[in-house]
Amino acid sequence: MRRAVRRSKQRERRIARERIVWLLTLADAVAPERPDLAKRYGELARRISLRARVRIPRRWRWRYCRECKSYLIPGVNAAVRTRPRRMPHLVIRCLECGAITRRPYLREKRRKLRFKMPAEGRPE
Amino acid sequence: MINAFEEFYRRVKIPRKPSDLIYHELIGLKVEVESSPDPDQVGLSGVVVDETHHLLVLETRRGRRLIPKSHRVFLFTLPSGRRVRVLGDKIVGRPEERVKRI
Repeated sequence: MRRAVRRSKQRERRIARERIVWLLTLADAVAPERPDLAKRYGELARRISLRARVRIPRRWRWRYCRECKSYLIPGVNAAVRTRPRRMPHLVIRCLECGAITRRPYLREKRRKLRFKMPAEGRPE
Repeated sequence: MINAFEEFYRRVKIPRKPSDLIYHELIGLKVEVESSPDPDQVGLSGVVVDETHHLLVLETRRGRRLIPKSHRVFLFTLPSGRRVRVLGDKIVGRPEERVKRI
């Protein structure tokens, strides 16, 4: 019986993970046209992650405001700036509550220097 | 219909099992109302753009429609093109709550 419980738990978390990826991908796809819906989807994804005890994938980790937990869409309710000096970092400012978070990108920069490769993708 | 949803449907291929559907995400799926106590709603089709405990919010060609989940039969189209018939009463419940009901 215990095994059955564990299996259903696994299924639950697998579905939760799929739903979160689905919702956040959709959120980013509709963000330019419908920022209101995108925010709603971000919120739903977070609620699913809390209920099913599943982490938000790292790609989307910085997309939630550390203070007010709203889903951030750069250009709509968030401002993202790079600060290249000393400890290079991104400054992410939530335009809902004004909170500021900083994310270093030194690692990415070092990697780039080592391999002399063009930067690929976005700072996620 | 909103273009971004069409685009998403065509481009994003996140596989999912038909048997998971009633615990899975309904937002973004195409749906047709197959039967309803309200004859006006039968045959209505569109994309699910939002969901509450008792309602599906559909974006149809003629604007937004709120359809109660209970006492309806829905025909969902998965991104794979497969169509799944779902009893509306089975998907009653808040979206984040549904995943806990397995």
